Amino acid sequence: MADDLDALLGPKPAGDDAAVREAVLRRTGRVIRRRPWVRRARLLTAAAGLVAAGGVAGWLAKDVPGPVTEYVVLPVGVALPSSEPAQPAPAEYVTAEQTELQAEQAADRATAAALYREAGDRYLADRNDSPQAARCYRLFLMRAGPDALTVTADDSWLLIALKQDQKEASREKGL
Amino acid sequence: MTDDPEVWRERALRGAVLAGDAAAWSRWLGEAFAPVADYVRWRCGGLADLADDVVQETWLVAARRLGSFDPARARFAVWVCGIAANVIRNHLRARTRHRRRNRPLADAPEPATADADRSERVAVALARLSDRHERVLRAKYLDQRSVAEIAAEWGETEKAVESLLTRARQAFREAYGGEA
Repeated sequence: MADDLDALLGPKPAGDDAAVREAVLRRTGRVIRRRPWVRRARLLTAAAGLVAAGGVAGWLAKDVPGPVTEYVVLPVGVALPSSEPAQPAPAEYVTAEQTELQAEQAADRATAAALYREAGDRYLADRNDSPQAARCYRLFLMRAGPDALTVTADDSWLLIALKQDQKEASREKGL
Repeated sequence: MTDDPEVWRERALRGAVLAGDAAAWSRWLGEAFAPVADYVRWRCGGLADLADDVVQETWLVAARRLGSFDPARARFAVWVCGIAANVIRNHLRARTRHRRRNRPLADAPEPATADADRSERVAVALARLSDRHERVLRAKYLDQRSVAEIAAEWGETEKAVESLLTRARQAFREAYGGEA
C-alpha cells in the first residue's frame, strides 16, 4: 500500500553502476594486493624496532667508563737472578784404589789412617768388595791406634766386626 | 559455532582476500556491490554525485578494514552498509559546513534545484534517525518488504513492526520538516 513517504523514501533510480564499480575495483584492488606486503613490512618494522630497542637498552645499561689511566712503559735496569741457582762444581770422583794410593803416599799417620778408612768404605759401598775393604780397614786400625777401636755410628758392619776382633785380640794378648 | 554455510563461505572469502587474493575480492565485491550501491543512493536521497563519492569511499574503507569483519555477526553487504552509513554522515556534515561558510547573498539565485534540495533534506533527515527507525524504513521503502515479511524476519509481531514503522515515519517527517 502506497503512502505519502513513497515518493521521498522509495528506491532511487540506479545510475551508471558499471563505471563506478570498475573505479572501485581498481582502487580497492591495489589495497588488497598490497595488504600482504604491508603486513610483512609492518612485522619487519616491528622486529627492527625491537632489535633497536634492545640495542639502546643494552647501551644504556652499560657501565659508564671511568677516567682512562694511561700506563707508560719505562725501561728500568734490573739485575735478574740467574735462571738456575749456582750449583757447586761437582766434586771429582775418587775411586777406592786412588784413595788407597793417596793413603800410602800420605805424609803423616793420621791422614793415612783417615784415607785408609775412606778407601775401605768405598770398596765396601761402591763395589761390595769386602776383602779389599777389610784390608784397608786393618791398615786404618794399625795407624789410628787404640782410640779408633771405639765403635761409632758411621762405622760399617765390616769395620765394627774388625774393631771387635781387634779388641778381643788385644784382650787375649793382655791376659 | 555456526552451521550457516554462508558464514563459512564468507570466512573463506575473507581469508583469501586478506592473503592478497584479488580475484576473490573482485568476486566478493561484485556480489555485494549492487545492494550497497542501492542503499547508498537511498540514504543519499538520490543525490548522484554524493552517492558516487560515498560508494567509492565506502569500499575503500571496507578494503582497508576487512580484518575487522566477522562473518558470524553480519553478512558482508550489511557490514559494508554500516560503513556507508558512517561515510554518509561525514559527507553530510562536510556539506553543511561548506554551505555555512559559503552562504549566498540574499538576492542571489539559489544554485541548487528544487529536486537536489529535496534529496539533500531526505539524506539529512535519514542521517538523523535512530538505527532502528532507519532500519525499518529501509526494509519497508528500499527493500519493499511488507510488514508481515519484516515481522517474520525480525522475529517480532506484525503489530510491533507496524507500531515501529509509524514511529519511524513520524521521526522522519519531523527530521525532514526541521531540515526544511
